Amino acid sequence: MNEKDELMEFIKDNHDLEPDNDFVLSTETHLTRMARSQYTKPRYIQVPALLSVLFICTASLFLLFITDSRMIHEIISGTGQTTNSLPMLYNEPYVFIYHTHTQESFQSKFTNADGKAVDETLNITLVGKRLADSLEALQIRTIHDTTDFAELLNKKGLPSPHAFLLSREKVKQTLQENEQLLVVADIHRGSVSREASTLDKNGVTYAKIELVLSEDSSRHEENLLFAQSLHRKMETAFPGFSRGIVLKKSQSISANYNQDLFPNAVLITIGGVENTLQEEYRTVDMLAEILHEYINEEFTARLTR
Amino acid sequence: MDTECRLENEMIEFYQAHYMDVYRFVMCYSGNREDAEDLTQEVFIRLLRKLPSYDGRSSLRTWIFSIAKHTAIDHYRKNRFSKVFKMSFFNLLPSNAKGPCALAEMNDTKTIVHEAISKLTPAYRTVLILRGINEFSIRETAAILKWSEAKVKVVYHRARKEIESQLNESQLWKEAIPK
Repeated sequence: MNEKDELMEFIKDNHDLEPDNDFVLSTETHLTRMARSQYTKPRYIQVPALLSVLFICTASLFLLFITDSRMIHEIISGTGQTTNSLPMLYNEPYVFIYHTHTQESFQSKFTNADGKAVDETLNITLVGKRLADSLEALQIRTIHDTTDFAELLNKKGLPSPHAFLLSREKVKQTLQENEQLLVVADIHRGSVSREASTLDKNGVTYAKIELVLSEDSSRHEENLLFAQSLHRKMETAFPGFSRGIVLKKSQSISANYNQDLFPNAVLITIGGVENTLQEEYRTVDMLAEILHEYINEEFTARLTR
Repeated sequence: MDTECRLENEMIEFYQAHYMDVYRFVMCYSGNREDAEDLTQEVFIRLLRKLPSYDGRSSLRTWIFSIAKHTAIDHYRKNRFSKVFKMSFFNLLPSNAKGPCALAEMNDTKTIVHEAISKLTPAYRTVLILRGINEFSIRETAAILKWSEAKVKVVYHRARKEIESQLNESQLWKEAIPK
């Protein structure tokens, strides 16, 4: 026992374990400054910081308007991506995308024998994948989870509302491993009719987006702030795309859609069964721009603090 | 205004109470002062960001160290890539810099201890530092690593064996402790 402790003592003795005094003090000052600004409400922000935030916002809005027509064109052709973005700060993922109802698919393509639009491979995960790709092209690292919760349910013989309990574990684990995440999105295919789920813009059709929140989430207020911010951004940049925020009060086990796990968690439905993959893709390219804008603003706010 | 002051004070309190432990941990983990300073800062910056979401379920110290662990492992992951690159590329360049001084430094006990630690896998390294250097109890270590207590015991034991054999190999340990 003694000898063993001596081993650790030996290691300690032969290691520089004391931090430099200057470093200790400067870090303390730095942290104090950060703490002060982190919890400062907007009205306490110093004027220069406020001005620069304003400036950046106007500048990006301005840019957005200038590039609007080009961007729409790019969305249509599905190739181009705008490139103005802040450098990646830590090169870590900021967005987590998953699909609780992994096999949701689209009628026009893949209707199964029961007349239900579900498919094991050609399904909503393709839409999630496209969103992840678009975000990566905008330099936002993204985790796209394609765990097939529908199959897991079958294997375990659980009823379908339990899907959210299965995906919950995945979300928990991912949050634990990636503390820097800023957005957690559960992407679904909606179930409204084509008329309600489709936007026609100059003859080009897009799937509409709906943000779904659970009122049972213990973080509902934070969830709502986040969803409102996304909705407002969509209304400004791409009017008509967002069908708005839907609040659900759950009666079942699917309860809070895992939104109690994270402030910026949202369930997003994209289009409906009658939409085509192409329409879905056009829409998620647009959604990527919105998330990109949101994340960059978060950073800008942090950098100017 | 009040909450602002409170949080600021809270942060300073945290920092003063824990910087030494955090520094020791990341210093052992990374093996050099520069990285240790960067990592210490990063740990406290992450902590500050996550402070509002701290739910009090785990003890504060455990919570801080699970953040430190993540930060250190991220660092390790990033570095591994650049190390592989440097080794394969720069080893091909002829070296003319190794004078007697450099050689003496290479044999420095500290360097050997650092190297022995850096050769451990991240899991071994983490558990060795937490238990051996930071002197966390088995239960606390288990909470930080989200392992079972049995696993902590076993892995710690193996990590000790490995570092012991490495130090033996370099003749250091035997010399230092006469049996």
